[in-house]
Amino acid sequence: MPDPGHEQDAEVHGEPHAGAWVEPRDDRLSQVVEGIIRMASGDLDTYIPTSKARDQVDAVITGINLLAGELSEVYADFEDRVETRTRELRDAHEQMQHMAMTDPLTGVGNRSSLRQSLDAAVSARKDGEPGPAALMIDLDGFKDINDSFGHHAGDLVLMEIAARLVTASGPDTVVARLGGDEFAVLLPVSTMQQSRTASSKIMEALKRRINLDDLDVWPRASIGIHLAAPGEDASDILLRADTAMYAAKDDAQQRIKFFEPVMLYSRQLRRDMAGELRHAAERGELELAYQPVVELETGKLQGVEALVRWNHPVRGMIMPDAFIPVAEETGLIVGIGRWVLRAALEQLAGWQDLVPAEDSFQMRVNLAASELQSMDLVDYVRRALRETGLPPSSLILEITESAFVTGGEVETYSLKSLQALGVGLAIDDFGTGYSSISYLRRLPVDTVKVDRSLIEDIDDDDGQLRFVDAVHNLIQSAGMEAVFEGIETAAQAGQLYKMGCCSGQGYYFSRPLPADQVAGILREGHTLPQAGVGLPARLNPG
Amino acid sequence: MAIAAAEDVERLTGTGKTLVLLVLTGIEALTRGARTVFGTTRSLDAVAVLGVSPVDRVIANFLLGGNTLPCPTRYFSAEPEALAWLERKRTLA
Repeated sequence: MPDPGHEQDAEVHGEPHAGAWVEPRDDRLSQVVEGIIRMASGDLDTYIPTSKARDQVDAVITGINLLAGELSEVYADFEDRVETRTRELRDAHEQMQHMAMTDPLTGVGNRSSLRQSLDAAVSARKDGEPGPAALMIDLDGFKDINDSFGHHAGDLVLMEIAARLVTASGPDTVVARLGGDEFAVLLPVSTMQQSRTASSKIMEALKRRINLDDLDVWPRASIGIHLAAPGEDASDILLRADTAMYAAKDDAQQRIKFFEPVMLYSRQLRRDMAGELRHAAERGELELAYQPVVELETGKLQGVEALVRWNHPVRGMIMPDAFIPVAEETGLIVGIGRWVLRAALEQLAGWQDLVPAEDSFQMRVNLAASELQSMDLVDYVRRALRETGLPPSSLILEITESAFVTGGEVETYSLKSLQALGVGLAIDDFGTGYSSISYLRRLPVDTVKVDRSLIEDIDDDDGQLRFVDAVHNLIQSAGMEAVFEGIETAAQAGQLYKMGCCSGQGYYFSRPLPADQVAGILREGHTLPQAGVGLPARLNPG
Repeated sequence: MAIAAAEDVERLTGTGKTLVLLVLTGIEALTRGARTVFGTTRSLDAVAVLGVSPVDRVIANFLLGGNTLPCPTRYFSAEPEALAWLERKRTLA
């Protein structure tokens, strides 16, 4: 048999290399086929052997091996990258989850995380065991902090508060900021006593002074608590805790309150009231009563203050204390204020025949701070005066002290314009605001109405009497007139008269009266009080 | 091995031009690591790769292909041509 190897050599290798030992059978080609099949099935690390010939066939084999190696590396690279990307995506996702559940400023939870935790606590509750308790915490006067010291300071305060809450609440609790200055603490499992204790601890922690760079802040909080009842879901629980918090806010004595169903009712009542109040003016349910302002010396009527009442179709006569706060909260005060102004001026016009020409008789109308913010207030007043045919000097607008203090440019513009119009301006409730004595002279007012609280004890408290005397002098030296309201006894009236005060208002002289009674006094020329008690002559003419 | 060689080259090169004649003999395989080291040496001005067989040529092209070096590179199967090319590269620079 001829040597098949030799012949094959000639075919495969071309020129046989002289003296080279070649394999009898060159099965490299079949090896290549096998190798490629292995690679095709995924084994890229396989290696096709070469011969010592290092000829073109070997070159091909070497090339295939190198290419397979490259491919294997490319795949490995790719897998690596996919793994890295997946890890990055997962991390990013976790971070986003965290961000979605966290308050960015303070780092505590947010509303979403609170709800989630609350839902979990509700589900985890065992029958007969205590369930979760929600504490809603509101910071008093936070808006003042922002207004007085800026938002950056406000933010620092919030961060400090959050940190204190976390410490005071303890482990296993969830602290969340619900936005603004409202925080919540969730006690996943709590009895009434435990939640009371926790609230006290929180209250104590929050009472401590917060010391920022150049200022000290004494926060004050209100806390509303609700222990979840079986069957209540997260929304119910939070609503009740929130309601309790609002009730706590309103109560100066008790700043930590547990939810009681009646609280929901009063909240609903306020909401209903606002709805009804909206239409009270147009339905003719509003009325005015007029309280006389009297010249102390003679008892003569110098004017009246218009006071609004609400003749509610179902609830009867409602006094301003009960509905003015709601009006101010909802902004309805502007509409009501305008109605009062218009009605009072029309009434005054109706009395013009009865007022002696030489006397001045002035209508005093209360103006709310928010009304001053309205750009068309002055126009309204001007028009009302014109249409009722009254001189501006017959109107005095009484504005509470705090409105002067906190007012901005629009308010100042309104006041100056009203003064320029010739309308009288008076500070109401003087002595109750945060006023500084130095600004008194600069205010665009003519009269100062001293709050009743200042004269309450002047009968038996000598110090108070001297104090009121000093206040009176202060007002006069600022070039203004003083009117004392809340005079209830002859003794008070006497003291004030001796001091040199000119005008007074109060139950001693008369309670608020309906229009026709005022007309009667004017017509008959009565003096007040109608019991006819005279005042002693002045010893030192004022 | 590649790293050691690269370090030798770095050591041997002075401030003048460095022309390298790389002789491939008996190499069976090329790891990626070796290719990477080869690609990161910076101090070469021309590299002539000398091989004998078709296998060497395949390997050389795997080494040189894909812009691994910033300097001119070329494969030769005969030494005199390789040297002549290097000489031309020296004068051109």
